[in-house]
Amino acid sequence: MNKFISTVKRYIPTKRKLIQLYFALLYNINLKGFATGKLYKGESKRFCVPGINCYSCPGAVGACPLGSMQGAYGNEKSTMFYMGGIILLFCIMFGRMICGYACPFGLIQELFYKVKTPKVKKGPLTRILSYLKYFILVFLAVIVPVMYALKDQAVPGFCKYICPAGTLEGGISLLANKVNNSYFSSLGPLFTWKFALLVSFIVGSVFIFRIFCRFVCPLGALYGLFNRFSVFGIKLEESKCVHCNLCISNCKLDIKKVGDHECISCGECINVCPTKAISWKGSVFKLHPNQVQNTKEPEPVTDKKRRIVQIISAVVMLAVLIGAFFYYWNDVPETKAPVVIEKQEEDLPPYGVEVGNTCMPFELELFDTAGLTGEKLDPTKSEKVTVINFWGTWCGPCVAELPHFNGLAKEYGDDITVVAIHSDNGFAAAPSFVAKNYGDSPMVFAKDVAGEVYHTDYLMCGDAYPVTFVLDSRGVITSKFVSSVTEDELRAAIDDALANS
Amino acid sequence: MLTSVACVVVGICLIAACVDIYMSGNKPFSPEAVAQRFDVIDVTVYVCLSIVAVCALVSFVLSLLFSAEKIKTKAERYSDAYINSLYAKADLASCDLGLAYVVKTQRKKRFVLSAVLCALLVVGTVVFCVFSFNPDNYQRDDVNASVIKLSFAGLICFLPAAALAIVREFILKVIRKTEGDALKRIISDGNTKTLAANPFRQKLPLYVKFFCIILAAAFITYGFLTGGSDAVLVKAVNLCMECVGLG
Repeated sequence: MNKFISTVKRYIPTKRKLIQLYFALLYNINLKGFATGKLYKGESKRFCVPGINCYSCPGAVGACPLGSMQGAYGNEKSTMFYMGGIILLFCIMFGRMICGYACPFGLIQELFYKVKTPKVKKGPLTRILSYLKYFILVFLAVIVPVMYALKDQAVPGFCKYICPAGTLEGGISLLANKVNNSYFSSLGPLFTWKFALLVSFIVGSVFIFRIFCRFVCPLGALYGLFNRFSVFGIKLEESKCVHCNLCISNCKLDIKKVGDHECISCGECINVCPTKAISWKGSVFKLHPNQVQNTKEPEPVTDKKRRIVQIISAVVMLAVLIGAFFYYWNDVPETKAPVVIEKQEEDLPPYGVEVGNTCMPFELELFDTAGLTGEKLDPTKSEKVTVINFWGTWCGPCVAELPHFNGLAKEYGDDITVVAIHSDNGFAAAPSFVAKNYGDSPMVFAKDVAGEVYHTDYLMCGDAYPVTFVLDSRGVITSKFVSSVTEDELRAAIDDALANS
Repeated sequence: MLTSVACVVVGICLIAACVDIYMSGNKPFSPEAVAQRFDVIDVTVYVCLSIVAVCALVSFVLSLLFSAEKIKTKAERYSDAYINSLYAKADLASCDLGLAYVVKTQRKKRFVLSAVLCALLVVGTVVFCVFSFNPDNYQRDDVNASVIKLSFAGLICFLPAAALAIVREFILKVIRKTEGDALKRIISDGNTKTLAANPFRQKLPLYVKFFCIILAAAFITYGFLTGGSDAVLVKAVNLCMECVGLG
């Protein structure tokens, strides 16, 4: 029995692991999203979570600070203030303690590190490699998004080319649900590259402790710069330190000193220090400076008091988690009643969203450079070949492919109608964008209608942007593209629809 | 000190130019506002200007954080071997030795920081000059031309200051021996009072904490009340395929 108990005790997670697991669950508490394969669209996504957690994960209930920061460069100035304030607040309050306690991807790496294999020890090479994340921060997380923002495109450089959390939580989670089977048609070299990166990080984390956090993560790089000033974290009292370097040799990260920019404040060095020179900052929530010499010893806390505080904290945290679960489980978006569908003509294929189906009729509001015009349009009733594109100003690939639609609309003239339907979310920026870039375009610009779930959400088949449908003159879907489409592909699809009409 | 002053003067000039452009556009990086100010100059210049300005101010802030006391300034020039020999001779619990150890690690950090920042500044300045030098801009009489002229003048002052920062690190090695003897005498005399802590440096982390918290709260409040969170919400609730690697 004792042997059984001691075996079980070996596998009980540490407090830090439990806290990491707690935050990973809290960030993705919309468990219903995994079942439905759709993103959560509630108001809580205005707020950022501290760690890296892709907001394209079906379970995510908050925004990712890194992705939001990259998206802020091309938006209104108020967005930059908002995101700048949030990131500064996280930095100054916790520093890199967020990496040690509140990052789901950090937890995943640490779990893989537990696999019993030979490990790569830290050394001068890993120390040099640890500076790579600063280069990634400046280049991919700042310069690339800014350069694209100057062209009115939103391209988050790090999220698009590197982020393994996005691939795992966003990409693979969505693909795992059969509702999103249409996304498979859009997979290409970018997904291959990102999947290979994800696998590399996961395999690498088996041999190297927190390989992504140490060498790549730009958010950790940013947080680490504030480690010295953060309210919470680890501190070293120089007066007690005898420079035995036991803390540095026991630490798995590339620190040169406890609490420097590489330290994730995991606290494992506290127990190994022979002179008890390492302790927690802000332990009594006092914003006191790091003193060289402590003139007053803190009041000792009894075991009973500590146990009571721990129990109360655990109960509160559990209550928050359970409350959040039930809140998000029962949070169903409002939908209008479906519009009565006209009786379908007998010689047409059945209604549906796939190639070969008849596109269900739906009505949209048109807008121009000045805003909504009040006119309505049903794109399925144009009686000529219609190209329907769902786009958004906040979506970089959508903006990048709009010139193709504009060019083909001019080329084919009155033979086709090109309808560009802007999402309801973020519509405020659309008229000015159209005025600046497509003021004389023959394209018809329309606004998607929120709540018309039965029509546009049904037609949109999920949350993906951009999506393009090509209909023939009878309203039958002849081509469908989920994600970006090239000009040649579009031209071929239009020619095909013209031939069918 | 000269480097710090030069950094802050130049930084303010460049930041003023950047803020002028920022305020006149509807977006943080507004091509129209840049075109209006600089005419023939490419908008890339604006980005380079911003980077150089940030580097200048960061350099100043870092020089504040890592500035040393008079005795520390002398101590940091010592070689590792010399300081290690001091360890062997003195009490390990001595505050002096602890400080000498801190100074030793700071010396390397300061040199690397100075070198990296100066390299960044030089590169940024060269790029700025290559892309933006246009004598016609000096013919303009309006306020914007003054800002441009001020920025150029500031950069011309800053280049020598940056070069001085690098040269200083190398020159200090030459006089190490003389001041090493002075430190040895101080430690052997057991004089700990020469290393009295600077109260400002002690409280600097506290000031930085309060300042950053207040600034963050102000930014969040302003951004939230003016609709800054709307763009975050839009980005978070819609799936941009290429942005998650599915495209």
